[in-house]
Amino acid sequence: MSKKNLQSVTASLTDLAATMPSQKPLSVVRSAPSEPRVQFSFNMRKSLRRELDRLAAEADTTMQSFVLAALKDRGLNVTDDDLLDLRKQRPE
Amino acid sequence: MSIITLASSKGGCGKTTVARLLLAHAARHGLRAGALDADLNHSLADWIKQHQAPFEVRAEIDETRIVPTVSTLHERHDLVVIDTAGAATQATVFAIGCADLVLIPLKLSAADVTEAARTMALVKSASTMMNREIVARVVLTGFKPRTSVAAHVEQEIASAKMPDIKSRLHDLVAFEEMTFNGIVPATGPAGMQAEALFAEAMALADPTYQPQKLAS
Repeated sequence: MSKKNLQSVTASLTDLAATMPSQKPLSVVRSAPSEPRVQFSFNMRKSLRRELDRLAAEADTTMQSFVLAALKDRGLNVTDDDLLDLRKQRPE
Repeated sequence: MSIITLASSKGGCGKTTVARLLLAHAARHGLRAGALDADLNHSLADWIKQHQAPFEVRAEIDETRIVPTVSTLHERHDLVVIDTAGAATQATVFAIGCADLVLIPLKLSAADVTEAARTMALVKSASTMMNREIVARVVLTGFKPRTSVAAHVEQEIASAKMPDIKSRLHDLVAFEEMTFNGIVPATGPAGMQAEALFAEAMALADPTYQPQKLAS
């Protein structure tokens, strides 16, 4: 089977392609945290934990992000950066 | 051996349907067929995986990875079919640049004809920039023979000087069922139309290709 030489395709068509939109998803640039982060944990009933897990999954977010969003609704100073779902930035 | 790219800046015109038909009929003829799904919806890749179709498929939407991925697939297969998104994107441009043949499907609608003409113009631009002819043909899909709209669309593509594949893919249930059950029509009207399309496409993509005689 002959191997086609596709080396020239990229070089020849880069200018033309540059006039078209990209399909690549924009990567989210996370700003440096302005203050140190700390671990925080507490106990809760197992069924409540399961319910929290389910609600976060339904909202397609992490439990951390889900809880912080609820705290934001109660008036805490939660920033967009705090609510970032880091799972969605991991390379595949 | 050959690389066939399905392209049109219009969604829903039949790119993935034609890709499925080409892959399956290539396999029927004993060709090793591989696919690159460059569509954000990755419908072709999902379909191949869901129905465990015997084709290597790569899903790649990153335009910088299109040419290297096609190159890799081309080393291992006799036919590489590239399905693209229903929009003119950078990935589409590179997929066109890799092709021996670009097929531009269109259904019987004004928007399909308009976008087919735009895609044909894009192929011509790519040809000019690459200093080689990239053969391109429109493929009429969802065709309704003996209707005035079909005659009108055929007249429109002739007026626009867009060369076409002579085989038509009619508006047949078998082509829709294929999306659910993974069974690509090989017999009956749908099978005959798909086979005719494959033969015509292969003759354009690789004039040296000698089709294997199929046992009926």
